[in-house]
Amino acid sequence: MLTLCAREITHAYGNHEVFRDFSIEVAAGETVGLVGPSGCGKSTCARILAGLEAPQSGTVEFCGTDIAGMNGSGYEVFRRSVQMIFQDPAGSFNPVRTIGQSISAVLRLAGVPKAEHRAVLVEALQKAGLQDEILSRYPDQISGGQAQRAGIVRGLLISPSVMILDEPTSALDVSVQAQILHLLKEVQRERGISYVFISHDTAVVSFMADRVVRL
Amino acid sequence: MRDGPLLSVKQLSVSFPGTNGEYIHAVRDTSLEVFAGEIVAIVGESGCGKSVVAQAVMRLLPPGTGVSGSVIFDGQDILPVSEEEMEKLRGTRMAMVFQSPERALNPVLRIGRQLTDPMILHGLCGQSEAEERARATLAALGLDAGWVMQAYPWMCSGGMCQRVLFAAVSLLQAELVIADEPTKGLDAERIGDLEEMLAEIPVGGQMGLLLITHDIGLAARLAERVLVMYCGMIVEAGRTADVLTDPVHPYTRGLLGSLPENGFHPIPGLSPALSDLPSGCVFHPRCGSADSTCSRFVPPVREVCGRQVRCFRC
Repeated sequence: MLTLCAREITHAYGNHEVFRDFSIEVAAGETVGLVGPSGCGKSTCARILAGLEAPQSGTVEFCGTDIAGMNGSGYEVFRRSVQMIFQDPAGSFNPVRTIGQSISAVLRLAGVPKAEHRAVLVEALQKAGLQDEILSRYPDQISGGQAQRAGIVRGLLISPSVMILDEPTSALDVSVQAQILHLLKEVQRERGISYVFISHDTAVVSFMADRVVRL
Repeated sequence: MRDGPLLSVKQLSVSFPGTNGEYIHAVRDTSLEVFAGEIVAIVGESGCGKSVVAQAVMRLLPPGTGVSGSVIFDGQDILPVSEEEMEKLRGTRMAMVFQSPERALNPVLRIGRQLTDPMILHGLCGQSEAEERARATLAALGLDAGWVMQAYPWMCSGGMCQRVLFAAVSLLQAELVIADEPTKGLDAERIGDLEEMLAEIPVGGQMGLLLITHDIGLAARLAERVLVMYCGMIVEAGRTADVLTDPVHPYTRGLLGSLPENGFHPIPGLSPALSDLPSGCVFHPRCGSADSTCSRFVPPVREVCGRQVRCFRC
């Protein structure tokens, strides 16, 4: 069953057309690698799939429904179900809030009672190999690997069905990269989540992806 | 002809004052040598202290930094020498290619001046010859010399700036070149170009290159000897062919195992913060072979299989 797909999307910045009539389909539980040279529009495509930008033409469908036509609760379900992990892990956290405050905001939105926040967070962090001491740290006080794990924890807390991972390990050292890739595979085995995995590194894409789409 | 090493770092330790009055030990008891005509690489992950070693050698650490040990360049310990004497050494005899090339160049000076002024300042030649040499070097590096000489750094790409920095180092003909993460942020094509330039440095036997990188492949392709650093200490050092094909230290084995070609096998656990290092061997909490000795004592450097290793269990 298709979870997320883009059909013949075209996008341009000013007069510069990034891509034309591009299509991609993601089925439940699979990992689709999205590859292409620098500047080909991989990150733009990711943002469009996540609903952070609208394509100039074409459609993005989530569980068979065009997201452009979604409103109210339907759009809310889409935004919760499709999470995005960015390349710069520390930069995707608010620099003036602790990691705990940033992640707790997600639990608040998900309706988890405040009294349960700490227990839920500690359990989620432990699964990702993190200690709860990072909850009191600011993004610039933790390593890139810790920040990327914390970002993945934040994305997973609201149980998405699709994660769009835009170069999630390209800013990390090789041993941390290996840990993150294994963490993602474990999460996929446990939850049946789908990934759109963007990377310029063919070895990483080969390791992660069931199928590869070239942009 | 020089008998000894061009650079000899002995028992170097560097610590920075932390925000709560504590000291952060960025480099501990580190020794290394670079001979003229060779490339030596320090490899390790972000925050392991590689760049701090480079800055200590160049005497570029901020005031208030605690530095002990010795840095002997061409037979002279340069840690105690005055800043005036260091200024004479930097550029003419020791040079550094910094990471983030755009930021290492002065954004408000044309590149031509940034290449010619140091040659004139150090008395290598006059204005017209300096310009001629700069143009020739830029052209040899595949750049449009006329345009680049007139350009400001912000008009150039990262790859162009990296080549300009390399030209600046070449023009001064320093004996020791330290390249700190020279490939960081470059795309694959530019990395290939830069590798060719770096490989040229020791040709002729007069210059030595200390290459600092997290890119193990780059070190494998360029360096004769490699030093593996973890949490401020060199844990394994030896011939590149030995260390990277048959690693002895558990950290080196883990680091190589996490490479794509070896199947992305992760090292368990996380690197500790430099402000909160474990007792004994810094790697023991992540090491599958550790015993009680490893958690209590810092392993000394030992000779194992023709290389220097800090491990009780090897």
